[in-house]
Amino acid sequence: MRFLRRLGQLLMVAPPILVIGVFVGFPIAISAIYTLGHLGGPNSAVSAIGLHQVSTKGLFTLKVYKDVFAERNFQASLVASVWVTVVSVAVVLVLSWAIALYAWRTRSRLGRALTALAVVPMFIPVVIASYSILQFFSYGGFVKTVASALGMPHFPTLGYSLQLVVIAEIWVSVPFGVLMISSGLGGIPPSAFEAARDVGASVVRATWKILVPMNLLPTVIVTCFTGISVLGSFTVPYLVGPTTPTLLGPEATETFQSFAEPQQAEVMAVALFGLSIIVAVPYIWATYRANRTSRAQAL
Amino acid sequence: MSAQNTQGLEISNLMKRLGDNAVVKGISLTARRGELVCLLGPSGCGKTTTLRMIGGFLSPDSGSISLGGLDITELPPERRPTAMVFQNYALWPHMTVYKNVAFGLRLRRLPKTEINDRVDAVLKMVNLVHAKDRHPGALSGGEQQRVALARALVLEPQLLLLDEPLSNLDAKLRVEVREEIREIQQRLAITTVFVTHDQDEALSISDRIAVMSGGRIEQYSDPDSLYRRPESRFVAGFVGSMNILSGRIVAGGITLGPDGVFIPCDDAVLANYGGDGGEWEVAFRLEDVDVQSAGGLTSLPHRGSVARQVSHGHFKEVLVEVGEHTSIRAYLGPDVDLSGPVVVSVRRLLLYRDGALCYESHPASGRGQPTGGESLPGGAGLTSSSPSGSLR
Repeated sequence: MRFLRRLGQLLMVAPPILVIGVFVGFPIAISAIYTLGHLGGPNSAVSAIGLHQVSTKGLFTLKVYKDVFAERNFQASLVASVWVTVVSVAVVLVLSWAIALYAWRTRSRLGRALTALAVVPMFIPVVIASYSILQFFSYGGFVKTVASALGMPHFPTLGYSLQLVVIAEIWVSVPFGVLMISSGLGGIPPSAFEAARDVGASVVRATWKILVPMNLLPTVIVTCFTGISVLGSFTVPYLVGPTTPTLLGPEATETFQSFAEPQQAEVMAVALFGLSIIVAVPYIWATYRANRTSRAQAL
Repeated sequence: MSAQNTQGLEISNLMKRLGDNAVVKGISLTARRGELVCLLGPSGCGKTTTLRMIGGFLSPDSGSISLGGLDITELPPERRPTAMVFQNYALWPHMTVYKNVAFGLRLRRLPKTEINDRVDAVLKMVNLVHAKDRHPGALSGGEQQRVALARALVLEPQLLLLDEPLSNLDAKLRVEVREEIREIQQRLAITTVFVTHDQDEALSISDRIAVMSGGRIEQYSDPDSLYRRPESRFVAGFVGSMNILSGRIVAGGITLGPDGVFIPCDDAVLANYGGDGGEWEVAFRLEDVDVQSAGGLTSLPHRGSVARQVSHGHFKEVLVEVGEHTSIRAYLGPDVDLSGPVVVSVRRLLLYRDGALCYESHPASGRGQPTGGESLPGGAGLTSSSPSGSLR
């Protein structure tokens, strides 16, 4: 009876697991094998169009990885990806916390308006937003025009720079950040903050020692999800960023499409995946910790 | 922040508006050093707002707050020599009990050994040494409440603020914890302001009680005076159980309710005054009502019948219908059995007009006395009935 019940439960979850396994897991596995020098089998189609491929008759080879990681362009793009990600995540966190905290503490109309306004970018397609941002900051754009009108014709512009990529990534990610942080703060009773003030903590200390730890999971979620999103982004860096160095998304696409090097492009994808896993570690840790705490409290 | 050398709390003409609503309307109050003062009142009366202004979480629109002779009106919460226990305890779930209690001491950069000693001492005081390394989520409601108290007490505040700290506990635990709070408060002689809407709680642990209504203090006195001599109609109705009916004074007693039911009252002065013929709000405690079997006295005008009896274990609450539209509640002994017609009399009563106490009878001497500015004019006994009396 118990066996049948468990079998029934397994059958209920089987369809989504099968879909993920067949349509996501399997392609990932054969791509990983492809990067290790196995060109036949399921990889024979892609290897038929690829240039500069490395094959192995043994178990595996890491030559493609060595070649790709030795390329200056890739190195620059890897550094650029990490830099853009770190800066974007940091700014998104600061802005999201500032807006959410202001709204939470003051509970004023301005706070509510700011929170609502911060969510607006979520409803604007990334392509449109990217072009708008580009027009605003690029050479013929609003900033340059105003600067010229004010007698500063050589005012620097940010068009097609990594800084502009950061600005656009912030635009894209702040709504999610504000929503998550606001939602987390909404679950904290104001008395928790007041109690800290009451025993002698300043506003900054009470925020750092009480609110941040109590709102840790949403903060980690914003950090990780924004980080992974920026690392793997394509549209923003492709439209507003420089040609090189660029982020790994456009870099891999260009390697695949323009240089016809699918094996190298997939190595870049694996590198991107590795970085994303590193970024995801704090999320896994925080979720595990939260589950453990709630289990302990339930006992 | 020692509890020594303090002169107590002095609040002067405190006012606060929240939006368009005047929540606190000119409150003045003093609490002597080591005194436990309760702010008692219904929801929305301004008691928590007052407490939050004392704690520094709200700024008053006008008025001043001083503690130990020092004006603290403009000080932020972290610089006030006060400590607050919040209604929901406001413990920090990511910290152990030890860290919750030690947080304030760490902020003061005290030596680690002193922090350990003080935390251990206060946890011992509230019987929580065994829970030192637990997180708040693993504690019962009563234990959480005691952690919140320990966190406040460890700072040795001049003034302890308690914001309905027992409202989340069950009835039995509430009685236990309030006695513990009182015992600790008296032992440490900490001036304390305790906010509650529970009159039993206020009457049982306070040195003085400020009954609040509509942002004002209706009465500020010791529990006995508050209970026996409520100075306003509001306090009479809010504190304890009270029969309050419209009535008129007649020779030998009063007539109550729309039925004009005569109830005898052994009060010579009241009888001599007779009344001015006008209507009073007549209030008398349930324990000041005598209910006896009528036996064969069927002609008595104040005969009634017991409509309902509720046993409270050591006493019994009865509802006596003395007229078609007039009922009186009374407390009787647990073994009293009243199945037939009964007669009702009142030993002690209070008279209110325009919401203010005007007359208080003293049954022991058989005399009463007018109070405040309004006195009862002399006159003949009146027997006309009141149009609007009812059991409140």
